[in-house]
Amino acid sequence: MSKQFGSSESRSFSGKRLARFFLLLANARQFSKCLFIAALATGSAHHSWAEDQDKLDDLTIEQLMNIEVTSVSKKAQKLSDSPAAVFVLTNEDIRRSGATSIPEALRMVPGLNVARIDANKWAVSARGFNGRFANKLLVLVDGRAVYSPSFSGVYWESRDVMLEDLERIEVIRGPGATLWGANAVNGVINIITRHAADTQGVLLSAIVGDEEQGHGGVRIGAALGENGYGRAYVKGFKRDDFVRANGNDAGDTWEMLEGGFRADYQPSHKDSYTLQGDFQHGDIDQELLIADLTPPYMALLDSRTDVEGWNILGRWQHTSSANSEFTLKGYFDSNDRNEGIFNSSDKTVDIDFQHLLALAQRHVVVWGFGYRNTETTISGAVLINPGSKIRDDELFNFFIQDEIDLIENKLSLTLGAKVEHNDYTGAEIQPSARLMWSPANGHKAWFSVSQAVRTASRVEQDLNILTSVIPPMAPFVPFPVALVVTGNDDYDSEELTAWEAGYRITPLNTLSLDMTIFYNDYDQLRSTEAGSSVLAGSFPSLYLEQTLEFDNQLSGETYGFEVAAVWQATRVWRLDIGYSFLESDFNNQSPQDKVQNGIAPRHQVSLRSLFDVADNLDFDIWVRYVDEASAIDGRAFALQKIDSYLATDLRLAWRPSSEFELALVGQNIFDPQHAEYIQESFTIPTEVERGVYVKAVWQPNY
Amino acid sequence: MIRVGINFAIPWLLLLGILFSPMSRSQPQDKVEEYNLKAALVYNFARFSQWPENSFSSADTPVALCVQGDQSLIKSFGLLAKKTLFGRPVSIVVAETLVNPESCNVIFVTGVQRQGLPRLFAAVADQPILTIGEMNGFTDIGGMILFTTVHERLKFSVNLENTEAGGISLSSRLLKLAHVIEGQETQR
Repeated sequence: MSKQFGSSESRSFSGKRLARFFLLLANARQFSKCLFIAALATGSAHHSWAEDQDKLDDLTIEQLMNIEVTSVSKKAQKLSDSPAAVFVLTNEDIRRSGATSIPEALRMVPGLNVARIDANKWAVSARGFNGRFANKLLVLVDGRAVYSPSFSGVYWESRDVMLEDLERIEVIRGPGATLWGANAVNGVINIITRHAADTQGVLLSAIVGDEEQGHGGVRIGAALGENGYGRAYVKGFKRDDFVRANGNDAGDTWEMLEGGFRADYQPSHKDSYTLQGDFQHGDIDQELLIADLTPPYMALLDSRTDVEGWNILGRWQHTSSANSEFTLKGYFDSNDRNEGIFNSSDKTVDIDFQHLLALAQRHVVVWGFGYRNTETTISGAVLINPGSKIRDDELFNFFIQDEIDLIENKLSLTLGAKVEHNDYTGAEIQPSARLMWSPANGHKAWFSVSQAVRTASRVEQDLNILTSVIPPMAPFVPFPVALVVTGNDDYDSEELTAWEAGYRITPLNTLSLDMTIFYNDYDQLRSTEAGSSVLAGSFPSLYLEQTLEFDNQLSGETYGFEVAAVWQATRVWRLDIGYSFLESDFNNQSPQDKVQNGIAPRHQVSLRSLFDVADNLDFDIWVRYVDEASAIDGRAFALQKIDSYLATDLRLAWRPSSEFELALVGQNIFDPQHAEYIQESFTIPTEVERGVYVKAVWQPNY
Repeated sequence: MIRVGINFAIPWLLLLGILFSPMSRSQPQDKVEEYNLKAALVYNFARFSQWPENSFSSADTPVALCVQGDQSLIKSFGLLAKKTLFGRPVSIVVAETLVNPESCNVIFVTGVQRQGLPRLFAAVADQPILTIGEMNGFTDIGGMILFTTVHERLKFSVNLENTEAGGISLSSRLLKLAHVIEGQETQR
């Protein structure tokens, strides 16, 4: 029951997928007129189909079998049918972007802000609230949540997959809570790997470069008996340091070893079974500045973080009729981090059931329930009074959604709600209403209003963290002041009401546009309130402990719009353009409120040119502009400005045969280094460097 | 600020260069776009297939050829609507999700997305509907004909168990060109 948008077990916002179809009954004359108009509109861009058809008309089937084909990009007119702001990255998009990790690939998605903190850390968020612990974005890998229950956020560096085996990444901006549950406040990212039948044979991949120092990956896929397919992979990599603003190495190299498998078994068209699992092991270097009670009240720690994780997932999908289908899914996920100053271990068990039911032609009902148990263990030097080390939490959920076809193929309404009970904040209800309207072929409009919550994480309820120490200011304050951010048992969920509207249009055969506007109204946002101040320690090392307690006193609103355009300019040249505008406004009351949320970039542009120089030669350009922003500096209790930047990636790929591809990629090619983000605490500001690498992929025909 | 200006200019100049260069690229004349060829082949598959006698309600009922996939496929499949099959007109439906798959005589499922496929097969199983697909394993789960691409040429395999279950017989001319799967052989 992974709640994926399009794939095997989709229950997208559109069970029946709102059944937009284009019926061309055998009225040949009317049809040719259509085509004629389309041909006029697109000029010479797509002349070849008619020539092809004429040529093919006279051939026998035996002759047809001997013709060579060129495969064109299938994305030109591909638009999702969901009444939500959806963007899909395909395997091909990722390959041609030159991205070597999932967060880097996510830079292609309009409305997402991806900022690299250092060589091994990313801040990724949709529609504002970015940060290393961006907590309003839910991320799933094949239906397995990789959102950390301890810290509310995603450790992108230890949640990697084999990129060649990715089917696609679906990004839903805006609340997806009705289907996916809590923390899908500003968006959901579904990372979907390929079915094992689609990864048969051997694939070898290798990268050598200056920043991407070395990557190696092997995947082997084979048939497993009758109706079964399997694959296994191992990959490893080593990445170089980035730099500080002054050009010195940032001490943030990292290396990982990962592996996994997937087996798919389909004994009949009624049943399909999937079993998959992965492991990761990594050494991640980082230089941290941590607060210290003795002069100079700050200590530099050269730390090597040891990350270790594994997971296993099973899924059974059963189709009893054309109108009924259910999925049962269960997984176990374990993720350990030993950061030196801070150790955490998360273990999650999750079981979900989901049932899709088409009723009376007009209704598609999806309902389901689930149970999740998380065990979080936290310890470490920056913790003061960590309370109980281990905590066990349970989560129950039930949801139902009905998609009602109001006017066939024209208008549909989707109503749904999810009820959830968690041990931190109790029961939560998250409803949504969505309307999809197709006024004409090639035009789709949608409207939605929905509510979502971001539930408390462990750090907000029961941990006390020493974030900084202010040196004594003689003679008024003769002691150092230790600022301790303190969890609060009453810390509640953050709430959002979101209003969204979107319009998708295909004005030309070769051009598609997808536009979204939104207004988000947040309440009970996280704030910190000054609590007690007590004299602690023993003479002569006395200090004043000032607590800052988590609370929900902040509110705010964000609004903006996002545009995605795909233009297949000629048969061999495609342009993908993404633009997003975002404005945020918070009702800051106290000085601490001002440093709760950084200022997101107002304008972001991504422009990609994909040019097939020849059938076996690609030349791709990717230009990104990110407006100035600010990040939270937890040590200084201030916002740090981050300058706008323009980054350009180039990729040249050559396929001497259908089995082998050699790519030369330059990243940030016109810029030796630039800052993209600063982590909220501990990490020293680090800049992203220019990088060049060569990638070889060998995939013998199978 | 100057640095920013230069950074801005170079990629845009490059882009302008690219903008005009593709126009001059010569097209390989002997190659055909994949879906144009698939359209021609799907039409031929239908031509060399035989449906049970009661499959069409009247003498002039069109042969319904349904394509599951995105709307851009209309440009490849639309022209088939000008043609005839066994003296009947041909009607073309292109839809991302086929609403009434039972009303089709031929269904071509494009793409490699498995989502919705079990429900499609639940609706059309054991009926005289010629099912054609292009995803790996299509003929394992009920599909009749599977396209594959080998060295830029299209091949197809036929699962005879599934065609027989649907009551469709394929001519020997078609079977001669196909990789034939009988019984439960595993298909790649």
